[in-house]
Amino acid sequence: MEIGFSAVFANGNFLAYLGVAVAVFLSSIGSARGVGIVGEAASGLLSENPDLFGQVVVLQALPGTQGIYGFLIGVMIMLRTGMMGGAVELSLGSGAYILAAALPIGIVGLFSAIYQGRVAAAGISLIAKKPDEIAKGIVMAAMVETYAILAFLISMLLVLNIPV
Amino acid sequence: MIAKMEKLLLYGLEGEADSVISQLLQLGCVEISNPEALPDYEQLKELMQYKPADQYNLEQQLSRLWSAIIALSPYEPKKGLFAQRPRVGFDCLTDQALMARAEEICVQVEEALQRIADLKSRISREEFIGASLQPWQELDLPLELEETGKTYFEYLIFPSTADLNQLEADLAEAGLGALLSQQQADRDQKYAAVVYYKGDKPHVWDLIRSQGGVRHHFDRLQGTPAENAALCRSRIQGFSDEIEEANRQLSGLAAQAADVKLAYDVVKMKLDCARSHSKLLSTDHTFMLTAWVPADSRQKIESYLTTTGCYYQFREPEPQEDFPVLLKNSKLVEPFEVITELYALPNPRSMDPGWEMALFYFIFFGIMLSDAGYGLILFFGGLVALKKMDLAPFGKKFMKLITLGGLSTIFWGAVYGSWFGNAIPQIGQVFFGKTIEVPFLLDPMNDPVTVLLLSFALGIVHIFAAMALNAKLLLQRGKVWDAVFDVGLWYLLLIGLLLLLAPGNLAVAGKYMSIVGAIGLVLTQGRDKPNILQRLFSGVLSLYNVSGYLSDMLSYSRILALGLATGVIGNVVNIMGTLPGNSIVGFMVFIAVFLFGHTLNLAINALGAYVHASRLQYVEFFGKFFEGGGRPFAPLRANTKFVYVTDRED
Repeated sequence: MEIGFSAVFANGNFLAYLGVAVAVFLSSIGSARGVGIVGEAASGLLSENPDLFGQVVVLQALPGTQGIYGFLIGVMIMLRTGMMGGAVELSLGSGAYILAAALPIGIVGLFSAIYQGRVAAAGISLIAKKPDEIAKGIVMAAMVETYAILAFLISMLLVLNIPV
Repeated sequence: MIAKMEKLLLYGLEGEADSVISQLLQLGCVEISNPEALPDYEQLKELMQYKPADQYNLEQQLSRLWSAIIALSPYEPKKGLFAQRPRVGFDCLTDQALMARAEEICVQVEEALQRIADLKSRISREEFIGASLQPWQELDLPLELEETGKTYFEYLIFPSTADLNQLEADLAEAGLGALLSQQQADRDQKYAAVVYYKGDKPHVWDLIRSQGGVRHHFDRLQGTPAENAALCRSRIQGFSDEIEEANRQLSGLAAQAADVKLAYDVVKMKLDCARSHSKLLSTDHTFMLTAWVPADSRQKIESYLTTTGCYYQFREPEPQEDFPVLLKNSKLVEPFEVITELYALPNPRSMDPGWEMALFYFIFFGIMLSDAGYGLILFFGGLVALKKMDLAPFGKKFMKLITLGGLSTIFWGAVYGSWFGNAIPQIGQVFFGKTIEVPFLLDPMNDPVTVLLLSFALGIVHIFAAMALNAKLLLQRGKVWDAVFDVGLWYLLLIGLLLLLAPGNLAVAGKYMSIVGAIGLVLTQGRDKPNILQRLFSGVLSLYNVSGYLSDMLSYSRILALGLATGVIGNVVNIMGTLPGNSIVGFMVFIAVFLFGHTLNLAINALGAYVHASRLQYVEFFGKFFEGGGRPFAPLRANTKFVYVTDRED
C-alpha cells in the first residue's frame, strides 16, 4: 500500500500529536537551558558560600516552570482529545487547531525560560554580594515569567475550547 | 505599622557604665546609637571622648572558642529536627567558673589538635621514607654499607630514558669488574645498585654519568631496605594509634561541648556590650549614652533606670532625624512582615502597609496554590514546626506565614473542589467503582473564564487599594491637591472605563466619568512644568498610563494560571497512579505515585505561589506608593547562637 505525503502529514491525528510534542519539547528545552544557566552560575557561588544553597535553589527553580506549563498543555490536549484512551479520530481542521493552540506556550516557553534563566543567573551574582537581596533577584526573574504565563493562559483557553 | 521611636539621652557615672549596658542588653529593646547625630556633638566632643573598650581580647577569645566548637562538632551526637536550644539565665554573664571550664577545654582541644597535626606530619615523613626505599626492596644488603675493603657499594637513580642494559654491556666491555644490579623502575626513574673496585671509580662513574645516573644516599638508615620499610610501617601504625587516641580524647571532650557553646554565647554578648560601650562618650568620671527606644518599651526602660543613679531624658525624633524602623503589627499580620522585609523596610517617615498587604497576600497565596489537601499539609506541618522546632525569630515568622497560607489554601481548594487534585472521585471510580461528587463553587478547569474574571476583579481591588494608600500618604503630608489630581482623577477615569463594560445607564455614567477623568488628567498632570505647552503635552502623555494599569490588571491572570497548574498536575498524578487499575499491585503503585507526585507538585507550586503572590505585592501593589530605605532597628540584646538566654520562667 502506498502511503502518500498528505496521508501522513495532512492528517488531523498527526497534527494533534504534533501539537502535544511542540508544547512539551519546545518549552522543556527552554526550561532545561534556563535551569542549566542558573545552575552553572550557582555552583560557582556555592563553592565559596555553601550556606546559600537554600536561596540559590529557589532562583534555579524559577525557569523550570515553563517546562511544566508546556507539559500541562500537552496533557490537557491528550485529555481533551482522548489520546490517553488510545484511538483518536480527529478531522484535519481540529488537528490544525490543536497544533496552533500549542504554539504559544511552546515558542514563548522556549525563549522566556532562557531569558528568565539569564536574569536568575544575574540574581545569583546579586546574592553573592548581598545575600539579603534575594527577594529582588526573585522578582526580576518573575517579571520574565509573566509572558510565559500569558502564553500558557492563551494556549490553555484554546485547548479547553477545542471543537472535537 | 512603623513603631514610634524615642531618643534616650542618658548620663551616668563612669563606674556604672558596664552594668547599665549589661542591663540594657537583658532588657533587649534599646539600640545604642552614635552620638554624632546630636546637634551639640561638636561641643560635647571637646569635653568628652570615646573610651576604647576591650574588644580585641574578646574577639580573640571568641575565635578560640569557635575553633574548639568546630573541632568538637564531629564527635557530638546528631541533633534531631526538633531539638531545642538549652535555656539559661542571664547570670551566665558573670559565671567565672564556666569561663574557666571552657578555657580548660579549649586548651585540651588545642593540644589534641596540635598533637594530631604533628603526628600527621610525622606519618607523611615516614610514608615518604618508605616510598623512597620501595625501589630497592629486593636488595638484602644493609643501607649503611657503603664500602668493603676493596669495593664501593652505591645506590643509583637514572632518568627513565636511561638504557641500563647498555650500561651493563658498556661496563663489561670496558673490562671493569663492576656489577650493576637493576632494580625496579617507575614512570619517571630507574633504580639500580652498583658494586665495583675502588680503583675503577673514575671510569665506572664516567659510564654511569653517560646514562645520566646520580648517587642516592640513605641518611642515617641502618639495616636492609625491607627491614627499614617494615620499621616505617610499624612507626606509622604507632602514630596512627596515637592519632586515634587523640581523637578519642576529643570525643571525650565533646561531652563538655555544651560548656564551650555557652561560653561562646556569653563572650558574644560581652562583645556586643563592648561594641556598644565604644559608642559612649566619656569624661574621667561620667559617661553619656544615646539610644533609640520604641515608644511602647519606654516604661520598661524607665522602671529600670530609676533604680540607677543615672540622669535620663526621652525625646521625640527631630523632623530631619532618621530613626531605625521596627515594624509593629497585630499577631495575625505580623507573619506577613516577612514579605515586606524581604522587599525593603519602609522609610521611617513613610508607611508600612501592614494589614492591607497581609490580607491580599493571604488571598493570593491560597488562590494560587488552591488545593485543600496541600493546604492541610502546610497548615498542620506549619503548626507542628512552630510547636516543636526551635526557630529563629525570622524562621518563626516564616513558619507562621506558611501556616496562614495553608489556611487560605484550604479555603480556596474547597472553593475549587480540589483535594489532592481529583483524588477522591478518581479513587472512588477506580478502586470502589463509585462515582463520587466533590462539592465545589468554581471549576477553573471547565469554566476558566469565570475564574479569570475573578482574578481580574481581585486585581482591580488590589490596584485600587494601592492607589488609596498612596492618597492616604499624600493626605498625611498635607498634599490634598496631589491626592485629588494624582489618585482621585485616576479613580474617576479607571472606574469610568470599567463601567463602560456594564449594561444600560451605568455605561452612560461610565462614559461621562471617564471623559471628566481624562480631561482632568490632561489639565493637571503637567502642573509642575513651566509653560503651558509642556503642561498640556505632559498631561496628554500621562493618559498613556492607562496601558500601564491595563497590563497591571492582566498580570493578575497568573492567579488563574497557577491555580490551574496545581490542579492539572494533581489530576495527572492521580490518573497516572490509577493506570494499573484495581488490584493489590495497582493500589501499591497508586500509593507510591500519589506520594511522590503530590510531594513534587506541592513543592513546585508552593514555591510558585510564594514567588508570584510576592511579585503581585512588590510590583503591582508596592510600586504605587511604597517608599523604601528604612534602616532596621537592631537593639542590643542576647543575640545568641547555641543557647536561649532568658530570666523568665515559661
